[in-house]
Amino acid sequence: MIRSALSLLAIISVTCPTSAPAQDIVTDAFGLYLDDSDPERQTWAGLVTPLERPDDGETILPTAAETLLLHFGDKSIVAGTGAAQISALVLDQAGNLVSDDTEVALTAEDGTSLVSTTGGIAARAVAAGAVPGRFYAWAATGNADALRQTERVTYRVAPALSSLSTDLSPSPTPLSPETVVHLRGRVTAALDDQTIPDGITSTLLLSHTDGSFSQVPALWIGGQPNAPLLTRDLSGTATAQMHFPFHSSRAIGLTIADSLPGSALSARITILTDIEATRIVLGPFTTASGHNLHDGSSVVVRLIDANNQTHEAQSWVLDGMTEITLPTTALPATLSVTSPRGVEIVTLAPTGDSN
Amino acid sequence: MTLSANDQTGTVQPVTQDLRAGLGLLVVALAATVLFHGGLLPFTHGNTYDAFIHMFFGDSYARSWFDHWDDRWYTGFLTTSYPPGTHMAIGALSQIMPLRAAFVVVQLLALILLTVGVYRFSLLWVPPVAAGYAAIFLSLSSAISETVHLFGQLPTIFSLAIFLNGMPYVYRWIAEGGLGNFAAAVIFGAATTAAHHVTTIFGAVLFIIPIGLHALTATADLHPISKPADQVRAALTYRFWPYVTRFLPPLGRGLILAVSLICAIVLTILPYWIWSISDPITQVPIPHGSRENYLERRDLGFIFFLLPWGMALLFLPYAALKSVRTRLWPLGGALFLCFILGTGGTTPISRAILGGAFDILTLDRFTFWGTILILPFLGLVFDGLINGRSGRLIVGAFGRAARGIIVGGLFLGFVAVAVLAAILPTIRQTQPEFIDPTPIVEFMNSDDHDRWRYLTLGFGDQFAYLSAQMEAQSVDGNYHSVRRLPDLTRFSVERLENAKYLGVPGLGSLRQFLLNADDYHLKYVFSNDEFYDPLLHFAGWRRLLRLQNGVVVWERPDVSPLPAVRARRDLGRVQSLMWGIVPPAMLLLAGLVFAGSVIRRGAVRPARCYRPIILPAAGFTNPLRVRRLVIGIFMVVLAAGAWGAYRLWQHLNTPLAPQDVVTAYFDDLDFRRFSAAFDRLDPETRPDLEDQLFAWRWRGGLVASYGKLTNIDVELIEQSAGLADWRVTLDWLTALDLREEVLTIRTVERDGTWYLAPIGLRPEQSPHRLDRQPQIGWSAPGRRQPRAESDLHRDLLDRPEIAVPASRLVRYQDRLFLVGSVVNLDMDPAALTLIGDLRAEDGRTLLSQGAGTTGGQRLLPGETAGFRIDFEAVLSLEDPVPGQGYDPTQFLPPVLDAEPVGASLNARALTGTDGHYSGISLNGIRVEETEGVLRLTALAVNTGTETASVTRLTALLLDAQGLPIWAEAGFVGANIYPGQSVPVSFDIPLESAVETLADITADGLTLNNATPDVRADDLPDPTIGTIPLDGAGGYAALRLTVSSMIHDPEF
Repeated sequence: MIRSALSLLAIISVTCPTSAPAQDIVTDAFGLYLDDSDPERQTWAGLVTPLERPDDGETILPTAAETLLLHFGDKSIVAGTGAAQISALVLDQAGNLVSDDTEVALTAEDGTSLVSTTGGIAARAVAAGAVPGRFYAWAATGNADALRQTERVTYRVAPALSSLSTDLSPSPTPLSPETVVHLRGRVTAALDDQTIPDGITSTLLLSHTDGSFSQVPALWIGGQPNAPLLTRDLSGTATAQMHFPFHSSRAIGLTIADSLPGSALSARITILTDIEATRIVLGPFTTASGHNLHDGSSVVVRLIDANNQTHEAQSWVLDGMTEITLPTTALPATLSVTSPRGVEIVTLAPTGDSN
Repeated sequence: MTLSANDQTGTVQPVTQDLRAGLGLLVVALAATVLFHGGLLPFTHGNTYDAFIHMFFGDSYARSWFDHWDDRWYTGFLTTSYPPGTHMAIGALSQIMPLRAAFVVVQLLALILLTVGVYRFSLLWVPPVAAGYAAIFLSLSSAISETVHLFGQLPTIFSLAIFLNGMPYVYRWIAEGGLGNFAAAVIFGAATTAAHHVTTIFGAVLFIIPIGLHALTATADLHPISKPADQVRAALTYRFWPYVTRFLPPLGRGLILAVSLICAIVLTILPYWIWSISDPITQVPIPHGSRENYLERRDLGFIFFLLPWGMALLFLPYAALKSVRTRLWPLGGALFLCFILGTGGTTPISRAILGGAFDILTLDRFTFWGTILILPFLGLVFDGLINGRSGRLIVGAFGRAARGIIVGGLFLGFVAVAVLAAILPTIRQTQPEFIDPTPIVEFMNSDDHDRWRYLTLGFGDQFAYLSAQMEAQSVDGNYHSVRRLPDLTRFSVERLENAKYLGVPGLGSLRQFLLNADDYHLKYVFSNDEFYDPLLHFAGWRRLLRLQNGVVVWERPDVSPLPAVRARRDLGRVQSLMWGIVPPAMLLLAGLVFAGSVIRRGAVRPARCYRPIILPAAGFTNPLRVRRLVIGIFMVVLAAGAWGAYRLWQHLNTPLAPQDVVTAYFDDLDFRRFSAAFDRLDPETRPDLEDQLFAWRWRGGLVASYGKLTNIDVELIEQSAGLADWRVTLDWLTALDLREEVLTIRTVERDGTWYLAPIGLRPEQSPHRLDRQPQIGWSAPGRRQPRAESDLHRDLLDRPEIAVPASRLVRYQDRLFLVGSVVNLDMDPAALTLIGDLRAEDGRTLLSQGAGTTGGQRLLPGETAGFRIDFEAVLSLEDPVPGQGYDPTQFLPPVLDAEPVGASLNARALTGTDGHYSGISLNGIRVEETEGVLRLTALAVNTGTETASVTRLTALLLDAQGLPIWAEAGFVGANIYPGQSVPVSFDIPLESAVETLADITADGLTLNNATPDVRADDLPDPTIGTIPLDGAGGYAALRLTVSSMIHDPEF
């Protein structure tokens, strides 16, 4: 009980406002402190600048360099032609700029230079070397115990886009239809493959003999461009050329094989009297290579029925077959089937299966 | 206590009404209000249109009572643009409870006051028991339900509550004078104005004038003329003079009150009037459903007319009868005026009466007031049915049970319609699901994101609630009268937020903001609707992340932050103080007067000067005739009900016509009702549901996933027994364009019901079952380093080096465009910002415009793309678009104060690591001149590993020197899955149609905020990588760039 009362008194004595004489309060980078505070704390008063204590009339002269701050930009420069700027801001113990002509060593890929400060700043230009890569830069001043230096910063010397050029690797055999073919280039310029950043893009253009073109984006991964071409609805010969902003590769010839039919097409028909239509199951769509057309291969069917009416529909191959329903029951009819195997004619008889 | 009433001859009728019975009914009405509306409000207010807007205003006052500039909406607006009473009440209460709770409390308080107000207002016209029933029917009013639970209109309810409570003072002042009555009438008028000025203004016509006329007619009772003794004098004056003189004092008092009310209306919200004069609303009128022809737009007729009137509509003939035959004629007159005006554009009468105001006013408010004015009549009806001679007649004719059934049935009918109106938003959703604002608030408040403005899409009215939770600013807003940006006022779009529902006009405005984001410091878009994804992606916005609440954050790179010191409109100290003090003071004064009258029990007691309608004590003079009439009416109602029920049954059970089946099928697909759509397919030939769903989902892409069906046109090709073939034209609105799709559809009749023959749709497959491809990925942590300070230079990446080899100002179809190509010469991927300026001869900038959806907003290292900047008009506030419609093909020329002779281009890039999918190839590209255009066709093939949900082809057409002439973009309408291909085709104008006006020289070019330091020799050859056209269409070459959006909404 008594202890509680004493605690309460203690709290009251601490929390109740009491009058106190005004004291000088000094501020520094570490906060506020009183004039008569701990001497060790007061040693930090060296950080107090005349600006903060104008009444003192005190002038603090710059002392030896204590802190270096580094700026480097641009951080990515083009090999051979690019240039950047390295700058160091040098401060003394009090946070003031050091005296002019303090020497600072500015180091980058192009070497180390001693540069004198002006207004606390030492700066010079950095010329990009011919070799692309990632490099370091830093600054230092003083020596022995007074040596102060910055952390390293990295910067990149990127190859000039104009220096890139490739040639396409020719394909020795005809390209299969309905296949993804990766057309790759090889670097012809005197560049180390490892220094070419991934992600550069170029364009592969195919000029077909039928007057059409195909365009395939090529992405540089691992030092070479890769253009994945899906040989869909393409056949015959073409010339291919890889294009960069500044160069084009040599044109090479390509042949894309036709899908030749492997066996004759047959049709199975079902008359849907309810809806006055005929369901036609066509297939198998085999190729001369011994396999079916890929699932999804486009099939266009054109039917001329017994009434000389024309009906057209589009479908896709699934498991080597396709199924089409046409709004007619007037048989016999002639069916023209266009698929990657070419154009085939099938005659539909009212009895069922036809050839 | 009992009451007596004088009849029109001055003789006293037997006492027929007990005041306590009336008070008892009032208590029942109050209980019903609290239980019904109070019980529903916490759950319904979130689905209403306006509740969150009022909360936002309330929050504005809670943040600063006397600072009336709020820059959170529309780049800043004055809150003096709306009377502050209810909002201040919410703001004050929000200091002690959550904002939503404050709204609910104020709304419920308003409803309680309104119940009392209706009772007091009805006492002026009808006896207490009828007034009690009127109060009960207020709580069962479908108009109140709709206004509170569907529309969320707080000020309308609140102001009417105050207004009706002030009506007794108006009547007493006119009828018998008394300064106390006068002061109270003026105070209530001022308090009503503080809550909502429109109620006072129109209430003066619809409520005060009838009451004034009623008071004048009562004067005859209050001041009967005694027969003079002098016969000669009588001959001279008896017939005329006393009749006139006894009306002069009430007329004079009415005049004084009118002048005083006008002064009160003006002074109470003087800053509002000053604002409305100095900042008049010069915007395109907002179309409102209440102005439509309800016979043509039955959905609007239901919402704005049928539902609010509800069961009360059945009693309009009774009100007409009573108005003609009794002293209720002023009330009836106002009621039928409201009825007519509330029919909107159904008849030309409303427009003839209102004139120019027709296009500004929302006419459903007249219907609302009409449903209040009919309440005394309803009270009379039910008083008569329960206690009066009508009830006795029914009991006598059909027995007590019949009366119970009739009265109970009518009550149930009122309750049912009121409940329907209240729960309508849950039956047919009018707002998106509730969106938790917390993740968005946290996002905007972190990492200095609130240094930029934001925009929400697909939030509905919850946008207002979101914006009330934070200080961050939006370019949009939810109170259209204060829109200040020309882009928002140029089209008749209410707000950007619901651009999709307003079709092309809305999208036109939204596009302006998304393309010119830098002008508005707009950096973040919070999207709750995938519809806008294609527009955002192809306008150069970056999909940043999906928040916990499912909202997707989009970011526009390279937008400057808001300036630290922003322009604001200072209201001045006097107006600020007036606005902060006078309206709440008026509300407090009215509250004190009301409280005083409650304490003195005068609030719910009729005054001596009241002259309500006289209830006949005796029965009908010819009960037989009345009985026949009642039976006749009953038979007619029964027959009408039976006929209606039969028609409804017939309607519900009649199979749809084949063309309606086709329309319903595509409608179901549009609204993702897959099961219903599947049921419309021919059950004999359709595949399994799973197969069909797979086919629908597989298509996806710009049309099916992101499109909105705006029109279905069905045309018969051929029909025979049980079969019909249709040509179906579907008009799709996507965020990028309008598309037309033409299909041939067959319908089949089975057992009298028509079905669609299944539409064959089987996907193409990839040649690979599993494909492995190397990919490039970038990471640019930048400011995401774990340190508190921001904007550190060491965190910033260099701007990628870009070049614009050539660009030109061209004219096509009388429109100005800047076309050109831009190349990324850097080794880092770039996100581009392209801004074109039209220049006058003296070098002045005439118009500034960001690149649209035709262009390369993202470039891989080494990539070159064409772009086009469309210079579009931004109309001034003084020059609105004539008419309310919008023709998407109509072009509004820019308002330029000089002839443009050239242009300049500001192109800048940031390192942009996403949106660079490059897996789409083009097979078999053909360009042929046909039908006066150059048509490009190709097969777009996805050779990559991601699904391209929307793919854009940008074609840059060049002349023989490699200089740009035109740029055009085409979009693929369907998903392209890996290994899949989709045909694509789009048209390009011929070279002869494009006029080159000026080349953009190096002087007119700014690259990465600096004069370009790339020498002409350093630029790539513009013809490298182009497809030769050999003069087709007048062009020498074509550069194609393909870019794709790969995030997929999974349908």
